[in-house]
Amino acid sequence: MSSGLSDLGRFSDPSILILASLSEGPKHGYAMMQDIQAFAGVSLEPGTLYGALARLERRGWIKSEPAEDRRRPYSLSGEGAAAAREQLLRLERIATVGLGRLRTT
Amino acid sequence: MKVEWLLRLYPRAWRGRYEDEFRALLEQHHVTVVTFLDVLLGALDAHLFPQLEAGRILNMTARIRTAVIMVLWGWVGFYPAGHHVYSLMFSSPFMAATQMNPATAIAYTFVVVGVMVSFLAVAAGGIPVAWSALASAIKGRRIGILILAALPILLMLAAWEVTAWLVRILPLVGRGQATLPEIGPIRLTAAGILGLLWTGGALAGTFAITLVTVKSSIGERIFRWTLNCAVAATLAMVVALGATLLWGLGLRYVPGALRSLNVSEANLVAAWTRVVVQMGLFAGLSVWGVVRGLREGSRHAA
Repeated sequence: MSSGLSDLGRFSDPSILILASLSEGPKHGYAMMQDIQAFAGVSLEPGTLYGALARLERRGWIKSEPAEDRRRPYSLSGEGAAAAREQLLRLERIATVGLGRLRTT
Repeated sequence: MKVEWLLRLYPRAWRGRYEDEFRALLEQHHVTVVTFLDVLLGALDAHLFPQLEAGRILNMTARIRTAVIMVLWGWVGFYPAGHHVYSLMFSSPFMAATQMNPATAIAYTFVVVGVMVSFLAVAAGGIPVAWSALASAIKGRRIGILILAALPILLMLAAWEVTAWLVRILPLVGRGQATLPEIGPIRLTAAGILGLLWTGGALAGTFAITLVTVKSSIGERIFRWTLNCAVAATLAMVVALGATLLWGLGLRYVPGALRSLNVSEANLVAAWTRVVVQMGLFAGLSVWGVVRGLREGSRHAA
């Protein structure tokens, strides 16, 4: 099983946003789109969202909960939480280094 | 703007798993032209890179299948260019020029072997897939699949028939039933028609084979065998491409070789460049497919 997101191609950025959104708790598709819009300012479209969800589900990083009135919530699996932590720490390191370098110039 | 109807474009397995929740989401979402395009691209993605099959999370087989299909398309684009070089062996001035130097003669042998091996490898990989697809279509009485499977053969027969008809009538034109200035444009038009016919036929036929492969239930073992054949075909294409490069450069630098052909050097270089570029592009597509397939296969094995 791959541990990174780079092999997800154009779905790697949406995937990290989804993982970050689900870190708070289970959400269905529309709630994820609103949450991502709120914390990242990114408007995910439905086709991209479900392309990424299917990939993350296939990897076992997220799991679906029983549907509530057609809307199916998703949550992070244990492996997904570890992967999310790893990816977010990587982004944090990049941000820290980048901002540090900007301060010195 | 309504986009729900686009869901019909998604694969059946995808719809079985996601359609209800996707519809619920669309009812809440503000749909724009961007949404329309995104949902359309999503359908294409779901076909090309299926993450689900029969409602279960799978599916390495589908990814290997995609890789095999990429190699097929690569070969369909590669083969006409390779065959063009291969068929020069029937032209005695070219053979004489090639034999003037051992290096060009050996390079040419590799072109011929590469093109032939690529053909045999594609046939060896394709026959079990075709057999399995046809068997399951007959068993499941899937008429659409059978019609699609027959399409490449029908197209090829039609192209042969038109080619034979044009070959039959063109000599008459040359025997005085038309004035001489008319012969050039007529032959040119005929060549254009044949080019379009064979190219269109090859594209439509390959598209039909792709649909049959995607829509049929074919086992993983067969696709693994086909992937091995695709690797062999791709290696043969790369060898033929390298040999074509060496052969052309060799002819260019062997003293007297080009002059013995008695054709314009500029035309020859242009034709050789076109062939090499076509072979290179499509061999590249095949290499891409094979790398994807092998990576997926090894991940699955792990």
